Amino acid sequence: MLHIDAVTKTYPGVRALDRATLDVGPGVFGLLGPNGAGKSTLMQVIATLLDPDAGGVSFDGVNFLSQRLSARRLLGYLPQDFGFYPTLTARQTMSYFARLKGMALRDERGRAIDALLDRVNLLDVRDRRVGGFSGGMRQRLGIAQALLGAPRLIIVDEPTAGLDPEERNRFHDLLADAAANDIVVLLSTHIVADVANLCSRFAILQKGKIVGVDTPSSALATLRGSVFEASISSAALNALPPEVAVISTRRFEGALRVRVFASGGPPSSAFSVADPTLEDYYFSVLREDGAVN
Amino acid sequence: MSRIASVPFGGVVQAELLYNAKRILPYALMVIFSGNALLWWGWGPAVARGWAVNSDFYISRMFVMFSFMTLPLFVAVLMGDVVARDFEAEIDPLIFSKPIRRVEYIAGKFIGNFLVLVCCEAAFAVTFLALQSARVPEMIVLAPRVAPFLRHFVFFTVLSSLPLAALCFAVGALTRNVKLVYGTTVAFYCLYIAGQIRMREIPLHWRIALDPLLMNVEQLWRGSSALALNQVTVPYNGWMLANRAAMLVVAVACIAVVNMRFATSRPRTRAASGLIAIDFAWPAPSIAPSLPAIDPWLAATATELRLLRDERSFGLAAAVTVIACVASLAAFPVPPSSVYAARTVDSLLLFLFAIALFYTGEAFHRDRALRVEPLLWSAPVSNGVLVTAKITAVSVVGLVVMVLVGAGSALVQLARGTTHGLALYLPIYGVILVPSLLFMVAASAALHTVARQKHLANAAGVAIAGAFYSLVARGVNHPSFNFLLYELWSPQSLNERWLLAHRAYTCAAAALLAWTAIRFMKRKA
Repeated sequence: MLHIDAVTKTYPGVRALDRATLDVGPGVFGLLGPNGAGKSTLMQVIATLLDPDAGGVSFDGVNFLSQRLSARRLLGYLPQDFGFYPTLTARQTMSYFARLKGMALRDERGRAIDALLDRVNLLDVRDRRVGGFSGGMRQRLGIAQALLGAPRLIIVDEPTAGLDPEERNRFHDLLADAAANDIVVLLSTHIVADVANLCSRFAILQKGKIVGVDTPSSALATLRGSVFEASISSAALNALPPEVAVISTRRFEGALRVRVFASGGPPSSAFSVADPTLEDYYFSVLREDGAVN
Repeated sequence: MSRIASVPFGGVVQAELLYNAKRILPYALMVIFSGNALLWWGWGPAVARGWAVNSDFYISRMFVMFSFMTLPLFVAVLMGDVVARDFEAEIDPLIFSKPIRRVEYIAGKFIGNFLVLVCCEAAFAVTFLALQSARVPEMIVLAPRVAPFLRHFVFFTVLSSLPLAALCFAVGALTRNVKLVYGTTVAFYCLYIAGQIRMREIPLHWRIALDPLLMNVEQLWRGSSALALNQVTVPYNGWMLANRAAMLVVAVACIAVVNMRFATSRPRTRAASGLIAIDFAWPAPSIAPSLPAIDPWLAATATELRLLRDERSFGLAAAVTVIACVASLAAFPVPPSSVYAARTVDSLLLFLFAIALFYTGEAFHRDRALRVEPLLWSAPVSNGVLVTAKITAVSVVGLVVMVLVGAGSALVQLARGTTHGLALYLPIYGVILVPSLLFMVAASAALHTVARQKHLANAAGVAIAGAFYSLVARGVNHPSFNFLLYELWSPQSLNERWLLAHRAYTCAAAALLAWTAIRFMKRKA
């Protein structure tokens, strides 16, 4: 179990994390939030790469702030922004990180590397220099290195950026497989669909604060019967009563398609009941917190 | 200014000026150059030789010496990565997708950074100018003057640094490899000194015309008394003007070559083959928590060595070192009684210093430049593993170069039919050079971890080395601070006990510096 206890981090003029508290058990846990919400800061604190001003992080009894080396043995980390040595091949890169993780036995290491490269579809190019890889291939290699050494806690920060839809599905399968082995996977993203597809629980981070923790199904249940949808004009949108919370507006076939949350029934006859989505929940929580205008 | 800046060329110049204004490096260079001026004002040769410190002769001499002793490496530091940094920061697609012509980009980059270089150099001139109002005992100071400072600064310093800046810019822009730029400047020193030695026999006016730094101008007044020199007005004769014109031509030619050959594209990447569906069994390799740190350390060292080997500049640096060190033996007469191994030590020390400073810098800053740091830092290894692996790798590179030079020198010796001192290569290199190399690499590691900025650390390293050389040249030399034993040993002293004690002292200092690097390595995002 990962315990994040009142973690606070302030940069000059910005409170990136404000007493963020979470308990995360085995499975894929999603961390949702808009850009600048503090997701990457929280990830870096958990990955032992950033000291918080206050609070603590522990996992299975290991204090991540005072027992860094022990913590790193448990970790698999894929940062949002990372690179590789361009002159090393994929296999050399993996071998290097594997040995840093303590995988000293050559044969076992080789098998694990080949299996992971196979899993991320890089086995055929394992002897090619990473400098010649495309963005998606580098991302897949990054994922593979995070899975080295059978980590107990996997932290992945915006991992599907730069992946095409097929690779993204493949990555989801990888994480789901990992989570099935009683591993804690912390997935930071601003793509709500990734959370909906993968996560058994998720939290929403906004302006450094955890503003909601839930499971996808119960999150959807809270909205059932309260989400309405209509194609209306801009004037009609502006005329909606203040108690109606606009979740999202988007253009569809030239018309303004509006989704609203209204606990007292549809705002007008133009609106019909819609099936709530996790995106509705996400926007409604952010709106409650004053993040979405 | 706003009209100029509104066109792309002006925009590039302005961006370079703004970028440099927010860097520490130019200010650090100004401090170093001002300190240099202060040192040569109060403690230079003028007081001892009875020269007036603001005489026309001494002012021109100081600007020439300044150009020779400090500029080439600092020019490389400031001009080498001008284009490469746009590609490293991945701003290049944003720039080249704008309607900017290649010549505007190239000229803007060069002129913007050359202006910054001139501003840094001006710190030397301004300090010298301001110090006219100060004096130390027995110093001769003439009536305060301004024009000679300005005139000689432009003629001897700015015009000397122009072609070198253009050369460094060209190498950096075309290869996008800063280490090749450093290699070029180190090679420039070797070629320049070798050229000056070769040209001793030709008439003075030709020596002046062919001397890019105009070091030979001083020879015009050779043998003159101090009193006469204080009254001299340094004229710019036809040979000197021809030389400066040639420097301008060289600079323009370098920029023209860059303009013709510069490519805005990056190396093409090839996409992977199609996706293959493969059943996957989750790999669960065992990790023994009590594993000794030796395997991660070996892996880190092997990787660092591989990365250094893959550096394009390494082959060139090794070749230049071997050629320069061995050529100094092969090209000039060496008495049969001389110990060849000992004669290679001084020149080898210079190159080992360059390797230690620049390649250690490369090893320490590569991880940040390539954004590998978060992956490495989240690995369960201590700072000691990461730092000592880098120190070991650079030391091994230095050892390889040392072996190559030793082998080349031994071949020259054998070709000349003398075997005198052949057995001394191992003890001389082992006792004198190896501890010195370890010290320089560890010192450089400490400098780079404490400074955390590659160019700042490089500039500081060059400044420290320059100050050390200046002290030794002035006769201030003692084993307590001369860890390299430069000019403090001879082959005979190999049998003396103090030498081994000193090498142990040097190794202890290296260990302390390595510990400093480990201690100061901040593993934080």
